Amino acid sequence: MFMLLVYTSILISSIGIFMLLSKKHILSILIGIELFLNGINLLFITICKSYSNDVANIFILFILVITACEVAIGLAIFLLNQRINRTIDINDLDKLRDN
Amino acid sequence: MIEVLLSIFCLLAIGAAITTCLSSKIIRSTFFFGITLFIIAFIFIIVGSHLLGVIQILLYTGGTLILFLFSIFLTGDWDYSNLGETFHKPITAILISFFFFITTTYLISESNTFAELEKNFNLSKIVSTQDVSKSLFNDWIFVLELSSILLLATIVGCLTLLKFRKEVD
Repeated sequence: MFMLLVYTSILISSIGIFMLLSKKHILSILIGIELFLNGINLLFITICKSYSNDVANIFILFILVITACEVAIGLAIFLLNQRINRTIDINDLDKLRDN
Repeated sequence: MIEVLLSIFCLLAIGAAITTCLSSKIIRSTFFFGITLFIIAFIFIIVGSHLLGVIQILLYTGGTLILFLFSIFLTGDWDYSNLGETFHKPITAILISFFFFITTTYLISESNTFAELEKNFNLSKIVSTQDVSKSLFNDWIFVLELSSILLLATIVGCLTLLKFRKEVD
């Protein structure tokens, strides 16, 4: 059961990496990052079950906070890019420098 | 019973994650992403971390997913007609993610530490909310304060990015 959870978490992280690297849509890239971090969270909680302390739970709480911040900033940049450049393509993000 | 339930949830989580990746529309992708998050929250609850499971549902489904949905609604007219066309160097991405998967699984299967962890793995151990909160407010109070400052900085950052800019026609 331990290995099943570990392999599931690694597979979800791999899917997240694939999404992060392969998509042009900014939202898809953000979803990829979220999937990657969720896989890591699952790995943390699986490893935590083998120890007597609860450090992994605390780590996951902080990862969730950081993820929420990252998504908020990412979506703000996404909306800004759409508002100014009229595009949702990740390749056009560098045009924001001019504004 | 728990083992069977966990196996089913693991398979469902993998299936939902793959569907998230391969969906042709961003709204479908977000929907399956929400399902993945829900299933992972259920896995957290099944393995005994009830607090994390509830936080996962509240924070992701109640917060992050709603943010995603609002962004999609606000930029609805700007969606690609087909997300399948938005792949950027998919072969490289497949190779890198496959390399990550193979390397990590090889390292874990060969690692003595993980063999030891597998022996000590105990599904019946339940992490109580009281223990987590005690630890959080005693041993990790400094990091908790740092994360609150990070949240504050995020609010200021989002406002600076969006509120004080004029829309360009």
